Amino acid sequence: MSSSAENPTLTAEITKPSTEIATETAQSAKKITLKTSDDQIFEVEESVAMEFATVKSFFEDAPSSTDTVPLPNVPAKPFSQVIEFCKEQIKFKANPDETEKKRSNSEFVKEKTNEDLVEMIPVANYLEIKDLLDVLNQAVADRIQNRSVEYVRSFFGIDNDFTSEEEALLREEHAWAFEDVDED
Amino acid sequence: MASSCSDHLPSSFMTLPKQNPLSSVDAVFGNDDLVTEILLRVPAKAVLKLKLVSKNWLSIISPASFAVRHTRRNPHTVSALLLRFSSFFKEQPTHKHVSLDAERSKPTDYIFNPTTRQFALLPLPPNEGKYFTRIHLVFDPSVSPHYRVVCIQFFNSELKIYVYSSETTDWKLSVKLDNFDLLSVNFTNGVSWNGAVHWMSPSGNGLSFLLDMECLQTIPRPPLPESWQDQDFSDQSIVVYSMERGCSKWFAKYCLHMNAIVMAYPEITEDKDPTASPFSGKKWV
Repeated sequence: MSSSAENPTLTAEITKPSTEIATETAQSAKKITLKTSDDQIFEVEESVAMEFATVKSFFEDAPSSTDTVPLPNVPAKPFSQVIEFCKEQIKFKANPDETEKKRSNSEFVKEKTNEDLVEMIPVANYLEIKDLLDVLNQAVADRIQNRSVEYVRSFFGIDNDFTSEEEALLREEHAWAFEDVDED
Repeated sequence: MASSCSDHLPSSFMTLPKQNPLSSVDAVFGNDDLVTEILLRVPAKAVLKLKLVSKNWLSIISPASFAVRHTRRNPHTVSALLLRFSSFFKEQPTHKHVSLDAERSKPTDYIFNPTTRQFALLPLPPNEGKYFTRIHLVFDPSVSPHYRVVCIQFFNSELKIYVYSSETTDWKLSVKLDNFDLLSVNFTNGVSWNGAVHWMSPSGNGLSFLLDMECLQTIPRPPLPESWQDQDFSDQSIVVYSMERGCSKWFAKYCLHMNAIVMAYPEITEDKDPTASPFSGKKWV
């Protein structure tokens, strides 16, 4: 587990703006309570939570619900990063600027580790955040395309299940594709 | 701890990722749809390499359905080439699967996939050798993963058009016309586009062969001046005509004023090397 998930104060800092601000803008800043698979509670502004298609449809079925929404497939660490992304996206909804949005998206993935990206993909998929899923898939594709097979296995935590004969045969068949691979 | 080793590095992906016990990694790996979405964004050559990651990845990448989706997402790749080797040529394709039959006196045709570097030998069309013959590859991976080859044969004023399909791996007679005037159409330079092969004529209307409808239709002649074949372009305009969809008429798409180009790039007139002329395409591509 990385430090951000273990540290409750950091999580709180990301998701809970100070209470004074919250009461001042009580009308617009309705909060939705979400519970992650590792039992962390997140209070997220409604506008951010509505970016999650899965959560949105939950409230479409039960509009007046004040219950905590369980997210059984979502661990806290990638979830806090997903919230970070969606907060940025909302700014561009009010004020569309494609160039700035692209810059912001590439900034977002640039500072993430491989592990961060790989953990966020199933979360973005489960919450049905299409824009984020696109950004993450492209970022992972960019990071693995010039890398060795060994690096990619390690990237995804995949074990090699080929016999050495099978691997040698495949390598021979596609020998030219193994040119120009970056060093790990 | 992962954070301690990545803190002092400018970007995290410079290090080898650690084997990760988190369940979400298994979730990515365990869900073929998510892996597929990533692989569709990886360039073709790198995708071939990634077949070696695991048996599961091999099974995701290998099917034709993946190749079709990948090609549709990345349409700017050359999809296939038709290569003709004559046994008189010394040069042979370097790929190990290709060996030329030295006994064969007729040309040998291969379909080449430049992405996977795979060759397929094209079987000889019926009656090959007895006829005047031209072949054309018709392949649009955004429409079908299968390619077709059109073979034009002419003998004793009889025109026959055979079509080979990579789906059926067989030649089929598609069109047969008696009393055909071979000189009316220039069959040497055909262009395949939108499921048809188009030929220009030196004198009158051109001709199209529509593969799915198995018929020939005339296409109008472009609005060219009388002496178009031996024009000196250097002090005039070049008009690029484009055929409208449905092959009904031509329209002027671009007009290049040569004087303006020469003024902007005076070096093109200084170069005596004919292959460096702007019309050879070398300087402009």
